[in-house]
Amino acid sequence: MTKQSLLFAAYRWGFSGRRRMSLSRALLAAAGIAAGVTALIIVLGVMGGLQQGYIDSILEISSFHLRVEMPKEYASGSLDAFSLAAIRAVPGVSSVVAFKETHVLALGPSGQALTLNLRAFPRGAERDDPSLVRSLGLSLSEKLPREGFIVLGKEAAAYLGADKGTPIELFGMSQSAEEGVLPIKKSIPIGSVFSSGYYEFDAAMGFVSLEASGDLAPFFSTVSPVLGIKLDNRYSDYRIAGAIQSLLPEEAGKVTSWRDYNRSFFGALRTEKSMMMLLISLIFVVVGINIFHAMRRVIAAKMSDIAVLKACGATDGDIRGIFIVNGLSIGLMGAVAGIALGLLLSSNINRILELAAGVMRFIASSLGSLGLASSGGDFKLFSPSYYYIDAIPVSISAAEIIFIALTAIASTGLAALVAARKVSEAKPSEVFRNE
Amino acid sequence: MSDSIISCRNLIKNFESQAEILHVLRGVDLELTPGSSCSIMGSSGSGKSTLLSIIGGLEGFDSGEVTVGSYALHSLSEKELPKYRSCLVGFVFQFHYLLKDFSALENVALPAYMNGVPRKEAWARAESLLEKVGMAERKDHFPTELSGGERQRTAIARALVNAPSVILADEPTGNLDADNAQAIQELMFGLPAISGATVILATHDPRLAEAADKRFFLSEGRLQPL
Amino acid sequence: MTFGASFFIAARSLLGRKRTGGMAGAILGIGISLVPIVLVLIVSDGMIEGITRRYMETKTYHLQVAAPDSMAGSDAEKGRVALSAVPGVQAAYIEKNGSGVVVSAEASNAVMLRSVSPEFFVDPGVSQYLRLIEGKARPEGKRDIVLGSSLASVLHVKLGDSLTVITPNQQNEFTAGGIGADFSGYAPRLSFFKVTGIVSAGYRDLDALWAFISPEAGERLLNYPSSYSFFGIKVADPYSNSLGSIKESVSGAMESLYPDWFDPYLTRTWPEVERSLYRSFGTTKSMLLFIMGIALVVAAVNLGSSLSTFVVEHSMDIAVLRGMGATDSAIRQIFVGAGFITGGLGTILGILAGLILSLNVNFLISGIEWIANIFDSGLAYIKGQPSVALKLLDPEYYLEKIPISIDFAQIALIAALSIALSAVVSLIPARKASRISVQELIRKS
Repeated sequence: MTKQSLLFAAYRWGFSGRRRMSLSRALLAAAGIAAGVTALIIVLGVMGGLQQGYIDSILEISSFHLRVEMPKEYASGSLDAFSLAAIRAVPGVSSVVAFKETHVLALGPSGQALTLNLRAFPRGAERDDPSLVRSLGLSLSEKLPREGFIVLGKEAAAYLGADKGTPIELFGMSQSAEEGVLPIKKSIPIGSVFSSGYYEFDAAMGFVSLEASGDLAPFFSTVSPVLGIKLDNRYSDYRIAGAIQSLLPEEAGKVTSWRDYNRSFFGALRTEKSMMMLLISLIFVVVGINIFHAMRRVIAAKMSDIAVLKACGATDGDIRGIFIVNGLSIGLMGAVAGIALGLLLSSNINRILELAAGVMRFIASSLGSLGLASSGGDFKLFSPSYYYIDAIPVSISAAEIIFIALTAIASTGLAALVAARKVSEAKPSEVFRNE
Repeated sequence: MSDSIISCRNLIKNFESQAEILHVLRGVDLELTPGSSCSIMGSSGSGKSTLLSIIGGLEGFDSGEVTVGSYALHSLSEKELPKYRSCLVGFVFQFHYLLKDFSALENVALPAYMNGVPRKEAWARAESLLEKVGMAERKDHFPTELSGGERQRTAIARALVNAPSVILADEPTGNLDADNAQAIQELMFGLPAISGATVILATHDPRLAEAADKRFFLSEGRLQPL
Repeated sequence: MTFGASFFIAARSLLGRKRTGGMAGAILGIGISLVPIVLVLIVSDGMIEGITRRYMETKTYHLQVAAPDSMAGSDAEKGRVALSAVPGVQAAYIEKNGSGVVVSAEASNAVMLRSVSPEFFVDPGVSQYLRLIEGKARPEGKRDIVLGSSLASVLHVKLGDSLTVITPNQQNEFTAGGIGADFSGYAPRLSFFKVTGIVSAGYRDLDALWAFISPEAGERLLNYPSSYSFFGIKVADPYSNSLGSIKESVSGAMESLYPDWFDPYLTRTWPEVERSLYRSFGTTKSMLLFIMGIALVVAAVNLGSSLSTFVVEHSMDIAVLRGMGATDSAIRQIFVGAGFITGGLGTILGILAGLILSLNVNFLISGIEWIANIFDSGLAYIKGQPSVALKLLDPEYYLEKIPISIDFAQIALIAALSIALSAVVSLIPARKASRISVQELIRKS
């Protein structure tokens, strides 16, 4: 049987059949698939968006693409002992910054004490690593660090009751061979307030200058420097790590990739996505079973037609192909509709969530008035204090969309494939004999 | 004989059921020349349909030789049978077996279309065949909208669309009234002249059988010439 | 026709044939769609309960009463003993905590210092959820410090290592005007400790910054404005309704003990203390259930369409029923009943399957982990990358084992919803069925 004739039969039997039953049944199945695809796209898109923003910030601000912990011996020595320029010259590297980080206590006008992750960057870091500055929500014209000042997160500043220009007090300790361990305190005014959008950074990070003459150096006396390396493409990390490792002195620590540094976090994110995908894909199974049964019924009803086609020269495979094409088309229609709807809803997700929150609030209050649920009062779908974001970012990759579509089409195709095995039961000789 | 289009030698077919073995065909011999017509009579259950099924490649057999045209059925594998069916054989049954979801025109065109004939040509062939069987005006109607006689005529046109060498008809007039039956009978026996095909007709109607060139009677699993 | 009769007919036509009248697919569909709902329900409830339990047993207590920093040790002890005697209270403890910086030989980190009554460490709830990894859980001496396990690993310390803790130390009297702009009232204090124990609460977000110090050390270190002193109270059943009345009794006792500074708003129950945490759990769970609910809707629509087909296939039977005198509403009843039965069967199947999967979820997860790790190691080997053991539920972000908590009320609610949905969806084919007239059928054939 030629492909064209197969498609002709598939179209006729699948959709524009004489009885309207088959068309509405097919459309309903496609709608079911579309629902599943839409749900998957929205969920993965929102999860991806939330995760992506956070990952990006971690990469830009905290872990960089590659990190190297330098040994203690370099703590007080000059960082030009090995050439940063050589590392910067490695193809694929976009910036290298050598910094130090430690923890200190900060006190402000409010009197509340706050623990800060204090990072000391060399002069001009904003030029070396502009993406770091951007992720902190600072304009590129702002200097990072500002010599003589501390650049502090929004939440931290608020907690301390301070603002731009207000001095805060830093408490720490210094360690030296001559004087041993000593408590140190230093007052420093706030130069800029940054807002990365993530509580973790805005409430606990501060940036100071590495070169600030003498004053802040004691805080970092026992801290070894860290090289923060950014790459043009974050996925070339393993490849470039080797090149950089060879440029470093032997005592230097291992070049750690962002993927290993944050391994458990990314693992958790990936797991969450996979689980959601698995659970929601059950919708495809449900629709697949529907298609399976409907198709078996159709095949049973069409046994004599199938026998006729076989008598005219169609093989089992040809007839099976008719039904498989049918199944795949349903999957394709559903996938296309689902993708369109999913992308449409995702891009308007915030408006929709407000609507949904409103509906939930209505339901909750009516349930509350019925005494079924305690009226929770203020119900916001994403409680700002915990999630700390105003709008939901959506991010889904083309690969994910294609994967979802393929899963949908495969499930309907598979259902049709299994149902179509019945086709071999139509033996022309038996069918004709039974008449 | 080299000019036979159909040749059966000692064809044996058995049916195995739970209780017993039925020896349906016990050595059938048949030789037919191209462009001839033959009728096979016999009571119900005598095996006429089975014989036709075997010649048509719809069923296998237990031993013997069956050669249709250049195809030696006894050496064809299961996979090769559909090809044989599509190229060489046209069927007409008691029941029309038209596909309900396709119009008369589409029903006739389909076997050609399936066989690789381009769409336009297949449809053109179908139209001219329908004209020949007198169905020109009704060609776009669906089987449920056609009368018994019209359906059977459509079935005949379908049987012809791939220019088969052999046309197998199993009680083609069984479901029809006298007038329609007459018309079909004329059509069937005119087929060798129209298309050059060989017609084999199985029936238990003696009047229908008489119009054939060669007449046979199937009993006790063997063909007796009449 | 009586309700019983129509039910009988519905059941027989569905189940009396060789196959379930073609409704098998719909039954399966409903069943399958319920599995993720039940799973999500039970697992998230379990997780939430597990995490919540850990919080309230090891951190927030069941009830808290905030106390002023200036309260002296003996004064506080008096209050603690009095609170223990309040009806409904099983135990009362004193805790002071405050943030600081901890420095080890290799690293530094933020720390949440906790100075608790010695009896805290033998509290049943604490013993259940605070796992001792090494050494002793309770810091005995004034230089003993017990760290949370993640803090210990960040600092690269083990039992016996030395640590320095930095806290603010008030030097001058707390003036009425508050802290002066030059913070002259405060200086950093360095205190030296030795690690005498490492513990874990089983959930990183909870214990990431913990360090326990003795009440002696607490007395010395934790007396700056952002440190927090309070009474921690444990009751018999923190989930019971009597928590509210116990809260009142506690407030009453406190009022009589400390009339000069006490105010009822200082007493808080555990949900009030971690309000945003629990709220976000609730939101997450609702969202997950909503998403899983889509599958149920699809399955229900599927049921409706299967039932429609069923109606068409059995139109002859319906005509016969009419001939026997069945009314429109009787026919409708039959088909709604059929939908009810189908939905019911599917619901039972789905809930059973969901329950079985949930009860074995830990086993399932280890199985999936094992398979995934095989794939991952293989992939890593091919790519030449280091492969690290994959954990589906990384203990850093989730509980390691999911405690199973089955709330039958919620499951019953879902079952009822599912069956109700099936019945509602059957209304359309039921109406179609009741429209079938005998004459039409005769004409058709």
